[in-house]
Amino acid sequence: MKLFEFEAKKIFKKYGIPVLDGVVITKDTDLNVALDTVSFPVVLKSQVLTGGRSLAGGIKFAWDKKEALTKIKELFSLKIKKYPVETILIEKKANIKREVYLSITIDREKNCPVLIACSEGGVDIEINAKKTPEKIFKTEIDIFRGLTEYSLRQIAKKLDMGRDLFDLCKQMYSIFMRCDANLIEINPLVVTDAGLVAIDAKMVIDDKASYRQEIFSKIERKENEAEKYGLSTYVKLEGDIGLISDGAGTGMLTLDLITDYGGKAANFSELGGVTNADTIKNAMKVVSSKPNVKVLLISMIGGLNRMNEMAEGIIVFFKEHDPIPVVIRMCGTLEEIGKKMLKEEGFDTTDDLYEAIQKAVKLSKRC
Amino acid sequence: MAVLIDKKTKVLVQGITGRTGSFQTKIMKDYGTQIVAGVTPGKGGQKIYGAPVYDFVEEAVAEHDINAAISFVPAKFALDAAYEAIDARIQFMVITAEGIPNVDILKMIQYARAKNARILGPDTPGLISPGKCKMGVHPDRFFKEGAVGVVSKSGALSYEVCKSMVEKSVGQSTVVGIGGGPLWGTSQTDVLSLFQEDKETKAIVLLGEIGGTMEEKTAQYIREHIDKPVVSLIVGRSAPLGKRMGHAGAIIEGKVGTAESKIEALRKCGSIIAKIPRDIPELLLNVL
Repeated sequence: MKLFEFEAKKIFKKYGIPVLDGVVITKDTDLNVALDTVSFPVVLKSQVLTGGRSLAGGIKFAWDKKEALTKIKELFSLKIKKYPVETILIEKKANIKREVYLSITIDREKNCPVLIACSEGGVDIEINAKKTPEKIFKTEIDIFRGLTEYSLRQIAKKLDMGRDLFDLCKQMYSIFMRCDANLIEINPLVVTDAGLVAIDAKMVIDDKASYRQEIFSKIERKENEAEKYGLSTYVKLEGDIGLISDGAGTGMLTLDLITDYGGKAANFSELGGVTNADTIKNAMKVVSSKPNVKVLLISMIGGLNRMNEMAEGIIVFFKEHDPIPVVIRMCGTLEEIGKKMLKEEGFDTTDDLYEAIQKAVKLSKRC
Repeated sequence: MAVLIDKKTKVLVQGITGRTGSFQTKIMKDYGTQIVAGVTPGKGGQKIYGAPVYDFVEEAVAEHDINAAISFVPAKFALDAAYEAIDARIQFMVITAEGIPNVDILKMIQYARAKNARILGPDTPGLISPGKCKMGVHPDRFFKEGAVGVVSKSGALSYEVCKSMVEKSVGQSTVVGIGGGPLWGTSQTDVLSLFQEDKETKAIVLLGEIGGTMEEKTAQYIREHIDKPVVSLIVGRSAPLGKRMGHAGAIIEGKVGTAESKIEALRKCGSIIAKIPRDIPELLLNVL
């Protein structure tokens, strides 16, 4: 889950990373009250879950209340890469002496956390990595030892900064571990007369840690249909073939083959391992509820998933819902039982993936 | 010969009394895998399809000769189960759980590395050496003994491809599922190096998917270290940008992780490219 800047800064504050005093407003906020709590000049920052906010005009400065009111109005009518601005963070404008970049993320090849520092902040790190790789300094972190004193000294030396950076890096790392973060980025971290300040804050929390991170129950995000029905994956697409597969790899393969045969999938959905009759029934419900779906294509080659349970879910779905053309490819664990159950209820199945997909594509064009 | 497991592998099942653990134990046993014991905390003393159940891994290894473990322990408790197996000196572990937090995965991988143990997974169907041993959840009629080593991120995709191979009488030496990512205890290149060393493996099938840069790195490795023919298939050619396609690792982020980039890299490094699974047996017969 991506956090908004103001959400990440709340966590920063809790862990002792210096941030600017600010106030968060929405369209419903009483601006007269809110603006009385800040001291000008201020910066108005659109809160959107995407990058490139500054270039899109999502950050504005205001020197007095009147200017702030006009610019807040402008920001609330703005869309940044299809995301409408619904929240604004207002902070006191900082006196910046120097900007650097700091982040902690996971090095997927080395299988460890990595701290990335750059002596130049405020710019896209990807661009910097290409243009001036010598300015970027990576520190691999041993997950059992944490950040060592000597690596902190190395980082500080590389950035030409003092010991105040040590504490900040340690705090970042402790957030990373305790909050199950997959990314913490401070860009820029600035040097002011009052010391170091995190001007921006980006955080991504590991969705897989939702069972042990309180923040998932505190923050409301629009839930998607997949979560609502307990599906592993549900991605909406533009076509008319409703696709349900029981594995991610074969799901992607089926999608590729639908395209090869000239069809168009209405969605991509995947059940994930260890499912039951209810899971596939719910998947069929979600997928068939999309108005333009003309045919359901169920593509299964079960390892963990048991075909008798899949068959049961399919049969129950059709007892509870209006008929819709369906093509079933079924093989794998307990397939004999699954196929027999379906046959008794009048459903044909095939072993052959290609035959099933061609049939589904044909049906999608006929009706 | 086969890689990682063979007829002599003696397997411990962690989470053996669970719904999946017990069901898959029976299938593995029927296939011929030597399941010598199981562990579920608090359930010691019973038997699951003939395999004695213990409360602790240490108790199981004290009583039995064990050299590998497969874990059906749920994501929440998977790290502790891995620590327990590693501390009991088990050197090879298959971790099937999906949804383990990344921090826990990093810890189990690093701990295993420090103790010279190998983790396959997490989020893996396991592995099968047809006719010899199965440590996983594979539907076994799609596999037969042969000379092709298969490595795959996706379990189901490996079943699909092996089904096509068996229909044309092309068998496998070992089929290894490394897991859906985005973190892997054993990588594609780790498995390729094992296949390169394995006398029984004459050709290799690499099954990859969109997301990350593992296949690009693997391509480089193939060029430098593998002289056996490699047939590659990458799925997700028609996947939309920025959407997670089932596996945690299967997402195209910006320009990184596209099917084209992976296919191009593999082609350049000398791999034969298959567009669909059905093409694979023919391509293999050409080089075997």
